[in-house]
Amino acid sequence: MVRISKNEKIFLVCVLVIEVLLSFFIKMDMSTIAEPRAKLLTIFGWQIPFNGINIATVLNTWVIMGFLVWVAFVVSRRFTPIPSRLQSLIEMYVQGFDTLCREVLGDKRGRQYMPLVSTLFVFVVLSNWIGVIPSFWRVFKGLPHWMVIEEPTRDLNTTLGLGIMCFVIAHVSGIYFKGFGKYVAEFFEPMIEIGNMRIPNLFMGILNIVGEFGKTISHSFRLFGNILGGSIIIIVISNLTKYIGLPVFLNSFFGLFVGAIQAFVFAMLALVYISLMVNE
Amino acid sequence: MEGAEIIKAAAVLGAGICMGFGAIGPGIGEGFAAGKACEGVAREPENVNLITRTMLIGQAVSESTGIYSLVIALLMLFVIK
Amino acid sequence: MVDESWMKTASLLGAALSMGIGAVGPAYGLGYASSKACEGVMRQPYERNRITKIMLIGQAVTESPAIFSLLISILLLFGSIDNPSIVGMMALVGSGLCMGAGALGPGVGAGFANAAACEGVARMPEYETLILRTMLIGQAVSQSTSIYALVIAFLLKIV
Repeated sequence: MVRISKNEKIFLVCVLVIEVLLSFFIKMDMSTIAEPRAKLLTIFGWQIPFNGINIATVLNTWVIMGFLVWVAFVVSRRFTPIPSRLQSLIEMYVQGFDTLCREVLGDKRGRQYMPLVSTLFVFVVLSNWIGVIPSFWRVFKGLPHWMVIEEPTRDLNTTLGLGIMCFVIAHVSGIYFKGFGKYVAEFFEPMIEIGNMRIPNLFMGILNIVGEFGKTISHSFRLFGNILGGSIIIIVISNLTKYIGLPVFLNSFFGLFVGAIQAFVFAMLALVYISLMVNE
Repeated sequence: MEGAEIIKAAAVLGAGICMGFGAIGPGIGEGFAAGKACEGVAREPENVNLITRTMLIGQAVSESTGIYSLVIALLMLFVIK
Repeated sequence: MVDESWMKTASLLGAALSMGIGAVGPAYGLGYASSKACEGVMRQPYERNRITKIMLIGQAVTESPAIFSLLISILLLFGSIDNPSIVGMMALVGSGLCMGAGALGPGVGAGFANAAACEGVARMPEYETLILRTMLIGQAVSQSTSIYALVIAFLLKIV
């Protein structure tokens, strides 16, 4: 049984009360949830390619990046032999990912790829969790549409960018560690053997190349679909129950729990894709 | 109503059916592979990397039918005018 | 012949197909996983916390095809309708059918993986993290076909 301290009880009651009070002011229009967000189409008269920039996504991403840089700065300036709470949290986190990467990639290369994988995880998990914070200033009407806290990962651009980054890193390190010839030859496995000749299997080659792009698509759409679906479920069910009580539990399941698991899956898949390319 | 429009409509519906029903088999099959890999890890935990790699290769092969449906669905969507 | 009301009918039909068919597979997978978890708890009552934990984590991944179905279903219900045509009608129905049927298989498959992981933890509780890792990777890869279905459904809804 989980023990709840007195402070935590007070905190939970406060959250519930604030939630119920806010529920009288915030009314989400159900018909707008499927519409695209506000977009910045031009800067100083210059047309932005690819249908503009999603301002809310960019601002939320910057908030998360700034927070991460700030935490890293604060912790790394004050290392103490007896760790503070924050420092021990970060030490646990780094150690966990260090063991994980070294188990999958081996001691030397695991250390090389650990910063990438752990940063991916912490960025994605904060991106998934930021949607739990209610944008309470929406009670004032007439604010611009982009002043809202929402998950950057519910925008396809963020997740597809991360997915393409992992794709490029995995393939470049594959070429770097194996050499170009062996890297290309691996796509055409298993070879057809006639006598002593080994002919590349063209059919498997096409299949493998399409499969590589499929990996990237599924890697990024998995995160996107889960987070967008979760946030839409929260909005719809909260609206049906008139925002009383239930949104707390919905947010803790779809925001915190599913968000953490999907972030871990995202980082693990990046690690596994790199290990498939790097290992012999 | 024109014939070309009906052909396009059929292609669009066909793309949906193709990808939808093509996803059933690979999903179940890859799930079997993942389940057996979990059993294998529970039985011989020291071979976890070998088991994971075998599972991934097997899943990549069994996903090929899913990729066929994806390719056909994309062809129906974008090639048929 | 085709006007706004026909488009609305098609999108309602698509939404119903998407969520209705799409709920079958994940529900079967979730139930199968929890039945295996019950067996594991019956065999090893002292490990019930670990078994419950791995069951819940696996189920959160198992139900993501159902979440995709719900996403497409709600997009079809509340999405805007433009230029009525027979192609657009068929695209809406096809989008729902694609996501609905596409969620069936991956839901069942991910449930199998989750069930096997629960059995494994009941047998060897000390290797929980390794089993969890293998289960998550396997489930994630087995869901990729449902994600292809999601992509096609999005394309059909938008294009």
